[in-house]
Formats: sequence, C-alpha cells, structure tokens
Amino acid sequence: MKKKILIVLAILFFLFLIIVVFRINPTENYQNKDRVSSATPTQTEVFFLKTESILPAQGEDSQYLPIQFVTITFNFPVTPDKFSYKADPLVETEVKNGDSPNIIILSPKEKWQEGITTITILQNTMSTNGVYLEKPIIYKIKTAFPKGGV
Amino acid sequence: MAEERRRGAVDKINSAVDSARKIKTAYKLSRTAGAAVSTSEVWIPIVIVAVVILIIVFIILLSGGSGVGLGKEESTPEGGSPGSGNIFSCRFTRSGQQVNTIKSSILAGWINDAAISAGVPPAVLASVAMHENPGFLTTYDNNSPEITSNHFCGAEGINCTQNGQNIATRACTADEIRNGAETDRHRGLLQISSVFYPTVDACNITESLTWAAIKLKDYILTSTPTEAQVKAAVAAYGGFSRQPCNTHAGYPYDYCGEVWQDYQSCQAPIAADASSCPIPNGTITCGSKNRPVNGCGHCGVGYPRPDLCTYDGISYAMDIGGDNNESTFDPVYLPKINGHVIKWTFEDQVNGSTPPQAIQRYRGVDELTDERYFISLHHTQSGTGNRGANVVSGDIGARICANGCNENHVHVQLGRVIASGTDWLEGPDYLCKR
Repeated sequence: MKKKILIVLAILFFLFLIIVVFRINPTENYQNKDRVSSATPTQTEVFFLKTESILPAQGEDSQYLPIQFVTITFNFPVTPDKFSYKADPLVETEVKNGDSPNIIILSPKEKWQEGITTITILQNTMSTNGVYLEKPIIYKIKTAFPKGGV
Repeated sequence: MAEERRRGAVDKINSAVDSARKIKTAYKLSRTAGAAVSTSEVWIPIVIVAVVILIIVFIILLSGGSGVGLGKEESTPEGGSPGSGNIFSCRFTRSGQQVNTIKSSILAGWINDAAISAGVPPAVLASVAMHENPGFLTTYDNNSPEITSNHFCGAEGINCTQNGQNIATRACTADEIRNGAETDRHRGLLQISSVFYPTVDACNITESLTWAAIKLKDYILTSTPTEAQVKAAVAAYGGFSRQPCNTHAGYPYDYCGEVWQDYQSCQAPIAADASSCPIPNGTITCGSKNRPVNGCGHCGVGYPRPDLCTYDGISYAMDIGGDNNESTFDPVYLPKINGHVIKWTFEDQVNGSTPPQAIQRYRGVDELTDERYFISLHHTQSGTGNRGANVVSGDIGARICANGCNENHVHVQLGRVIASGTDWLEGPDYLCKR
C-alpha cells in the first residue's frame, strides 16, 4: 500500500515539475535564450533591449529608393508606441509592427529626403516586458531615385 | 446447576468452534486481500504509462498555446478586401457634376463586399452611397477614425413624416406630432430613416451597406441590370414617386439617371484594360532579360541596344507598343499590380534620350497591403505626367511621345520596395498578361 502511495506521489511531483517548467514567463524564455546564445555572456547583458538587425544594409555604396522602409528586429517584442526615435532630416513617418512582435517597421509617410537620413533609435525605447534599449543606435540610409534612363 | 455447567461447556466448545471459523475466515480474507494487492501491482504500470501519455499531451498543448509565449502573434486583419478595385478607380457623379473617387480603399472594399453578397453591381451601390453622402466617400481615408471604427453617423437629414409621407423637411412641430406625425432622422452613410427602419444600425457602415444592398436587390436589381431596372430600383430606394428622380426637395437632379451613368462609366472596358496593361490591349514588343517576349529581352536575347544597359532596372523592363499613327499620343495608363489598385503619386519627370522625349516617374502604394512601388514610363511626351492629388490605377499617367520621337512604344520599369532594398519586378510577369 505504501508502495502505491509513493508511486502516486512521485508521479504527481513529476507532473508538478513539468507544469512549473513550461509555465515560465515567456520573457524569461527570451532571456534564457539570449543568455545561451551570447558569445560572452554577462549577468547584466540579458536585461537590455538590443537590435538584432536593421534592414536595408547601410553603407557608402548602398543606395535605396526614398520610399524605402526600415525594418528593425529587436531581441524583445516592442510596440510602436514604445519605439522612440528621431530622423534627420525630419520627415513624417509611420511605425508599425512587422510579421513578428520583435520587428518594427519605420516608413516615411511619403518619402525620405534624398541623400542621407540619419535615424537614431533612442534609449527610452522599451520592450513590452519593460526592458530599455542598451544604448542609442544610429542608422544611416542613403536614398535617391534612380538616375539615368533613356 | 449441572445443566448450567453443561450448557457452559457447550458454549465454550461452540465459542471455540466459532473462533476457529473466524480464524479460518480471516485467513481466507487475508489471502483474498493478498491476491488483490498482487492484482493492483499489475495495473500500476498501466497507470504510469497513462500519466506519461497525459504529460506528453499536456506538453504538446502547452508548446502550441500561449502559455509558452514563443508563438507568432496573430496579426490584426487588414481592412478592405480583394476586388474593391473597380469601384475604387471609378469616378462618380452628383448634381450633374463629376465628383472624385472613393478615397478609402477599405470603404471601397466594404461597398464591394456588400454588393457582391447581395448580388447587385458594386458600382450601383457605390453611386447610391455617393449620392447619399458624397462628402464622406470623397474625403475620409483609411486612417479616418470613422473608417477604423466602422462607425459614421454624420449630419442628420431631418424631415417630418405622417402616414408614410414626408410632410416637411424639418422636425415635426408639437401640433404635427399630436396629429400623428413623426420626426424622421436620416443617418449614416446611406441616410437610413429612423422611422421606417428603426432596427437598422445606420451608423454602422458595413451594416448600413449590407442593408442598402439587400434593399436594392429587393427592388429587383440584378447583377447585370438594364437601365430600366437600375433606375427603378434607385427610384424605389430613394422614395421617388416618378422618374426622372428629381422630385425630392434637395434633389434637383436626376438621382436615378446619374446612378445609371455611374454604373455605365464604371463598366467602361477601357478602365478594365488600363488596370492591367499601361496601353489597353497593348502588345509587348520586348520583354525583360529573364522573360523575353517575341525573341527579345532587355539587355538579353535579341536586344538591339546593349549599350543602353547601364542603369538600374533596365534588365527587368518591358516595351509595350502603341499604335503607329504618328499624329496621336497614345495614353499610357497607370497599372494595377497583382489585381490591386495602387495609389500613384507623380514623382518627377526626367529627360529621355532626345527631347521632347521624357520619363514620367511615380511612386505608388497598395493601400490594402501597404506595399510600395516605383514605376517609370519612358519614351513619353514631356509634360504629360499626371500631377493629380488622387491618381490611382486606371488613370492616365503619360502619353507616348510619338510625334517627332518615332518611338511608338512605352518602356516600363517597375520596382517594389522590400526589406533589403529595391526588388525590380519582371515586367511581363506583372503587366499586359494575356
């Protein structure tokens, strides 16, 4: 009889463990993932919001149409209202989420001013789990309508 | 006493026999219990397996659900719907004057959906809406709170009604109300009467459109109606006692006739062609490098001018032939892309190879999908770009430079903006497909 009780208790405990493990807050999952994937992990690094990529690629030789949108992928979900930035030269812009909550799409409402536009993602940008940007991020996009043609 | 003693001895013997029986029974019971225990040890593994299976199922459910939180968030459905294009690019008439197009592609989609569901032509429903509330259709865009919330009441049209007849275009007086009259309020996009249709939510745009489409259907409007059917249905909808429909106070024009005209012009075949090919019924005279047509692909097979292949996008371009009459400038229409109406904005004109040739360039946005495009129309007449504020697919974007240019074709380059930059599109894959 005692044997039966012990077996049932063991099963219940195992079940409890499974529930606890899989009920962990999603953001903690992200943090854990971040911690694992970090090349040089530190304890404080995981608590910052960071950009994983910004498209299109920037560079002296890269030039895009002035209607180009900018796709910013963060390590945590960010909503448009918590995405803080400035553009220089200033034009009217639109911000929305992309295919994933971690992606922010920044578009000029009409077009960027031809030439170089500097977009600064400000440090008060915050993820949905309350994590702030590690440091301001400066991104430059060079735009122009194509020259030439016959 | 001896009897008592004897009875006591018998009792003792009986008691001893009972005790023996009890022991035997207890032994039997203990044997049975032992058997039961050994039987329970058989189903314990079964219980364990069942629990493990339950745990696995539980884990699968958790990983597929929101508990883990790693799944992709559901996106908010976009407004509008496919097929809104036709009425979105139509121009409507009111009070004898052509008014503008429907500004909101979402609203155009709702009109289209309501009409198609009821089996009536979308252009008729759109024209009725344009007559009932032109201001709303021509000025409210997709970002308007009324569109995003699907709620528009608008200014009320008020009149006094008695026994089903309008007796005054104002609220009823106290005397009139005492005599059985009611103040009738017409609200929303379709100006639906609060007296005759009190249960319809006139401020809910889609509900009012659905109601109006069904009403028109009830008035014997088919999906391909005759002139008489359109005018009769609209007359009944508007409450006109006879045609022409100009008998209402505030309607000094032929409401029914204008709806018929709008329906006709929205049906014009040239608009349909213009939406798919910049030159209606035009012929591709040279395809792109990767999609050659008739043995010619820009900067590829059979291309006569490889020396021109020096600028962005030319390898993806296509040539579409105009007619050979040197005295006419064929109009070049701004196209639909993937069947969607694009809002085009004139960007600039740049010089072509020889004056008066020029290149008209537009940037475009698909308001249903938010996709952005860039189109350039080469070999066009200088100054023929469309600088209008509300230019959409089907509108004229340029005229071929024929007189003095000897080109007789338009060279079209189409680019789409994607995350990594400009995606030049293979022209023949998108335009003038037969």
